Amino acid sequence: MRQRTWSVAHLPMIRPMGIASLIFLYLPLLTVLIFSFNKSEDATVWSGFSTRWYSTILDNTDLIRSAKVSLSIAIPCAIIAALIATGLAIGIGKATGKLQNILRALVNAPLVLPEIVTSVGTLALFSLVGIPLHYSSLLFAHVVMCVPFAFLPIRSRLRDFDQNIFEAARDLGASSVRVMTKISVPLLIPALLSSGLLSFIISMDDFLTSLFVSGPETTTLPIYIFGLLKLGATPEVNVIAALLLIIPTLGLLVGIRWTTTRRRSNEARNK
Amino acid sequence: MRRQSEPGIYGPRSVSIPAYVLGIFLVGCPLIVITVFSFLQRGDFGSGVIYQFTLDAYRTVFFETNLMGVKSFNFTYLTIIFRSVLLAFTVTLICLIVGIPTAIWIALQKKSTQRILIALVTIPFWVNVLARTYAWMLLLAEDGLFNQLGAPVLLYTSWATFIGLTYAFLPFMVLPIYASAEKLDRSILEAAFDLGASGWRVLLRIVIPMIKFGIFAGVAIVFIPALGAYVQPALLGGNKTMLIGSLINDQFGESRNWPVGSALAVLLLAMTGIILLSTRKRKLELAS
Repeated sequence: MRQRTWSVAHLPMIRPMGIASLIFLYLPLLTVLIFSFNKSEDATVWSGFSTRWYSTILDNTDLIRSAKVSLSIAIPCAIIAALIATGLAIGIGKATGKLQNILRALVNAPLVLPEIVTSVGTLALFSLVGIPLHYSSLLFAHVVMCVPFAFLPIRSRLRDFDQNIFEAARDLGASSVRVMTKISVPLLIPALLSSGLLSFIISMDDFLTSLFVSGPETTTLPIYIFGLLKLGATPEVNVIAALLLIIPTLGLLVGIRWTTTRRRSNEARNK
Repeated sequence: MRRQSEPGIYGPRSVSIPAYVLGIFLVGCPLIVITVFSFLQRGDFGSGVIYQFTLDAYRTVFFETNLMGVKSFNFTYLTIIFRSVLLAFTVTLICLIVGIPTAIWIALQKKSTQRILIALVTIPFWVNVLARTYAWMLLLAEDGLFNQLGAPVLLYTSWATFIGLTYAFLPFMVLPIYASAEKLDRSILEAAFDLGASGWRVLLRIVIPMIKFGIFAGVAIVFIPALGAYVQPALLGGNKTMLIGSLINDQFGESRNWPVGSALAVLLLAMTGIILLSTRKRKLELAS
C-alpha cells in the first residue's frame, strides 16, 4: 500500500494557474457575447436583453460588401492552398537534400516571420514589378500565408500511414504517378478538408497582409472592421465581434465532432 | 541504391514545384526586395524609391545630424525598437509564467478531459484577432466592465497593449508546451514524490527539464509575433506609444519613406533570425 496517492494537486501552482488562464481566455469572449444582446445604445452599459442590434447588421451594406470580398478570396485561397500544400507534401516525401530543405524553409517561412515584414515585402515586390493591387494579387498573398498551415495536416496524415503500402506499390511496379493517384491522394482526402478549412479561416481572419496588399475595391471584412474599431465601442460592433466569435467556434465544434465520430467508427471497424 | 528512392515514395517529385515557385517568388523575393530597398534613396514624390545606393535609411534610424552638421545617436527610433523588445519580452515572460502551469495541468488530466481542455485553449485562437482585441476594448474602456467595477481605465495605455498581446499569444505558449508535457511519464513524478521530493522540487528538477523543447518553441512563437505586433498597439494602446510594427506601417503609409520602413523591417527580420537561431541551437545542444 502506498502512503500517499499521487495527484496533480501535489505540484504547486498547477491547478490554480490552469483554471485562472481558462477564465482569462474566456472572460473577454463571454463579455462580448453577452453585450451583443444589450438593449442599450451605450455599448458598455447593460440595460436589458434585446436582439435589436443583430437586425441592424443586415442593413449595413458596407459590412455585407466587405464580407463578400473576404469570402471571394478565402474560398479560392483555401482550395489553391490545400492543393499546393498537397503537392508539396507528396513531392517532398522524406527527402532531406540541402536544396529541398532550403526550399521547404522558404515555403514555411510565413509561419515564423513577423507578418508585418512579409506584408511590406510583398507590397514592395508588387510595386517593383508593377503588379496592380487587386483581387488576384491579394489572393496570392493569402495563398502564400496559408500554404505552410495547410501543409501540416497533410504531412502528418501521410506520415501516420503504414509506409509499407507505398513501398509495396513501388516494388510491384507502380509508377510514381500511379502511387500518387491511387494511394496518396485518396488517403489524403480527409486531411485536404481540414487543411482547406484551416486556410479558409486564416484567409478570412487576415488583417495585416490585406491592409498592405489590397486596393480600394478589395476592402476585406477585417479591414472594414478595423476601421470601425478605431472609432471605439458601439452596440453594432458588439454584434459583429460576437458573430466573429460564434461562427468559427461553431464550425470548429462541428469539425471536432465529425473527426471524433469518424475516428470512433474507424476504431470500431478495426476491431 | 540512391537512384531507387529518387522518385519519392508518395508520388512524383515534380508536384512540389508549385509550392517551390510560390516560396521563391512570394516569400524569398519580397525579403530580397525590402533588403535592397533599405539601401536605396527615398522617392521624390514620397512614394517608392530611387535606384541609387545609399546608407541614408540606416543612418536615419540610428543617427541624427543637427544644424551644425554634428552627428549624434538618434534616440527616437532606438527607443521605439528598445520599447518593442521590452514589451515582447514581458509578454513572453508572463505567457511563460501562466502557460507552463496551464500546459502541465492539462497534460496531467485524463485523456478525454485533455481533449476538451485543448479545444478550449485552441478556440480563442480561431476567433478573429480583431474580435478578441475588441473584447478587451469593451472590458478596459471608460465605463467598460472593469471601470464599472471600480478599476482604473486602462484603454489607450501601454497596459492595455500588454494585456491584449498576452491574451492573444497565451494559446501559442500553451500548445507547444502541452505537446511535450503530454509525453511526461507520470510514474517518474510519482516515484519522485514517493521518495520524498517536494512539489516544487519535482516541478523544477523533473517536469521543467523534461518539457524544455516545448518551452523553447513557445518562447519563439510568442516573442516573434509580439515584437512585430500591429493590431493590439493600434487598437488598445491607441497608437500613443510607437512600437516597431506601427512604425514600419507608418513609413510605408503616411510618412511615405519606403527605404526607412524597409530598413526597420530588415532589422526586425534580423532580430527574428537571432531568436530562431538561438532557440534552435538550444534544441541541437539538447539533442546531442
